[in-house]
Amino acid sequence: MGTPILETRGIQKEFPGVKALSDVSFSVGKGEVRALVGENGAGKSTLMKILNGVYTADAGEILIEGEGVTIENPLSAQRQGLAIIFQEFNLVPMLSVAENIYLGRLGGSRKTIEWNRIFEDAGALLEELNYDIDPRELVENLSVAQKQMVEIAKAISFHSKIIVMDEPSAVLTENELQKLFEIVDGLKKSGITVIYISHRLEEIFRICDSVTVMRDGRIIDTSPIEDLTKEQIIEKMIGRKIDQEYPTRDTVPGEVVLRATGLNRGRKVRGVSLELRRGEVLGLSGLVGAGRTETVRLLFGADEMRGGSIEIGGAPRRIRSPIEAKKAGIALLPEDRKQQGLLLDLPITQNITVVNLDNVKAGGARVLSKSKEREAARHYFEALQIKAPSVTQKVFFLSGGNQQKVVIAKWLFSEADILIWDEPTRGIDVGAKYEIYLLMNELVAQGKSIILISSEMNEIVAMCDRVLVMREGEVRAELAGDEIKAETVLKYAIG
Amino acid sequence: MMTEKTTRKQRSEADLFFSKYAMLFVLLGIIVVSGFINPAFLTGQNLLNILKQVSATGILALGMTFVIISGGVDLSLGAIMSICGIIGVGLIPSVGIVPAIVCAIAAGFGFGALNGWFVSLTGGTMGSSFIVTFGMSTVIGSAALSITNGALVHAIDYPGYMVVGQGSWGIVPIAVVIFAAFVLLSWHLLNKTSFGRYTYCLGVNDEATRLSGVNVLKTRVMIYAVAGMMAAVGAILLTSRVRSASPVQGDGYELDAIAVVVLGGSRMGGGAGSAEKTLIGVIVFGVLTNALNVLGVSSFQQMIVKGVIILVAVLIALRTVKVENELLAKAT
Repeated sequence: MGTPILETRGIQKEFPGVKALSDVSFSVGKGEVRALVGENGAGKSTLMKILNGVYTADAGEILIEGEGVTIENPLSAQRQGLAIIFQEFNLVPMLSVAENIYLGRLGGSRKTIEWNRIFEDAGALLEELNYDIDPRELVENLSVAQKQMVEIAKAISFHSKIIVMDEPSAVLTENELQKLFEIVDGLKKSGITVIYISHRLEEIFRICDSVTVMRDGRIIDTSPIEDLTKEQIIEKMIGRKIDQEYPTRDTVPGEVVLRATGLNRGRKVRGVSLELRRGEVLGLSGLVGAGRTETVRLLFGADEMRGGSIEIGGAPRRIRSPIEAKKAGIALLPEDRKQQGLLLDLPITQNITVVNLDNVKAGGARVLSKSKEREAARHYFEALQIKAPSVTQKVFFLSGGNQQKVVIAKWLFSEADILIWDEPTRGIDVGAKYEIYLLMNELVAQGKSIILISSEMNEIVAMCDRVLVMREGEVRAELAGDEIKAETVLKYAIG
Repeated sequence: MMTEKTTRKQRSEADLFFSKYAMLFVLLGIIVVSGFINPAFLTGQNLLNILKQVSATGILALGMTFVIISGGVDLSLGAIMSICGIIGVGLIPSVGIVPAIVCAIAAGFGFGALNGWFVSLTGGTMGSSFIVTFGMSTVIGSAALSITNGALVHAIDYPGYMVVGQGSWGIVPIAVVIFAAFVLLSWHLLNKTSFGRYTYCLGVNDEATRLSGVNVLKTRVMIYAVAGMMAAVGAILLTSRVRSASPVQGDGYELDAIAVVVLGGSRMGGGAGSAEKTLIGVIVFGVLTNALNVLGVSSFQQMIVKGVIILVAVLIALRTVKVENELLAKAT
């Protein structure tokens, strides 16, 4: 195998009160694609931040090509051939692709910038990588997948030997994913090592050579991918056996609670009609940009409807704002949890009660009661198994799974019956995902109805009673029961 | 190892305590030093006098507190103060004292509501509130000058009106009582009502607030209206104390109000702050001004001292947030 390209020996990192990493030793070879998996809080991010020079290890060594190195900051990591591509890209939206690639070294060794040279170099680089992107295009106009390509091109331009990708697939759809696989393959062929962090185990089997599992700040196992099954990896990640990935449900949907007819909004949503029944999970599937999110935003009054009508419980209802949607018993768990779903700087209590403050008022003067707020929050702490040191903790400090549960709790507190969940399990670890599925089943058993948007095909297939497949702003197929199969859904989604 | 960890944590908690109450320590320091140098400073009469002098700025600052918590800033409060002073004093001959005051307050509320509406139309960001209220300030300031032709409007003939700013109940000036009432009102609104809660929510993330089914437009209009109304109340305290209204009377008061809010430790940018903090800021501001006078510091140098203290206050506020977050992160 020769000298590993990257090796860590006995890395330790302790934060006051928490041992984040203990004795982390692993190595990865040249041109290898290594999966790094583990639940949130397992220590993956801490390890990456140490490799990137954001944190300094308390003990241990990092070796690149057999030589000990010190990584003081992200720039020095980059200079030593180690690039990390984070889920939230480090790109400047208002600048061109070429400027982003050469940001910080636009002038080279000269004092003035030769714009033609920059664009030519970037163009040549993108061509070499076989990425179809115009170097003069502004980054804000690119799709997520294209932004990823720009990040990779930037890494390559630094002559990186190792590229770490943090959850690269989380925001991609099926066909963009295909492109990502090709990209990773290309990197591998040119001898670049890829460390691939992901919660999605299917794709690990498709592109990785080997897998390292972390749990509680330790390396649990490193094996060639063919030696493990998906179930074994999950077991190692959570430290116990799981019976199934998705819980089963035997509820039967009842009468129609929501009917939308001919919803329209420009080119994004074109004549979408749908029906949602009591106790039903209705899936909305399709590629990113197919108009799923835009459709549910119309149902919630978040955007202005250009045409169409909505009936709730058989009676026509105008929904022109989230205020009216809330009154009609509709809730939206937005796709972008941190920016749209949560008030990160406020405590858990206030995040939950904001939708229904009248319910936590007390006394003749009807003033807000902190104790009633805590009581309400505690109820959901138990019901949803939210893990936090106290109900008054700022949500900023919670893990993704617990943050998502806070958003769910908030809409349960609003007493909504129609729950629209847009990508509820994105970026959430396996254990928390399962809890969210259980909760879903429990809610529909109580007679609530759920519209589920998910880019994870298996989730749609396993959890939905019925699925609408969207493409280019229109509903292209309605599938129910045994018709709901990944291949079928994908067939209609791609068209 | 273990002991090292505990000391580190304790130090942080002590840090937080110091940062949070830094302004109180500064205040105590100023009082002790000034009292030592000039005992006249420490008399109850002087302290009440200080409060009376800052009551107008204080009420303005309370209004500014709402706007700053919601993630904005209101540069028109000074101009609103000027025009409301003119309306208040100017209307007395035709409608009488009480109706004139009511009209002034209603006008302040109206100007504020207009601010809130425009700020909402332009996106509701810090930037839009800055430019909208700046524009409003120019319009209102110019209107005040046009109405009066730049002249003073005298209140000297209305002793009943001047009681507001000059009279007292026992030894307590009426202006101080009014200020105290507004501190309580602001505290109540911010802590005990939906309106107050939404004010914080807007400052944290207005899109997430909108998507929680909160009426963001109404809340924002109300926030600026409350600030405008408080500017009008400040105008009445000021004009009745100095016995006249002038079209440029309020100039600069909006900046003092921002300074006071920052001195109290509320955060520019929104989401945090309180009426109590602003109260502390007002007292520090007043005591400092008075102490500098008592100590014989020239008015030119006073500006330097005040400016430096505001800069220090901003640094302390930043540090408080940092230390607090570190502690919370550890607890998780």
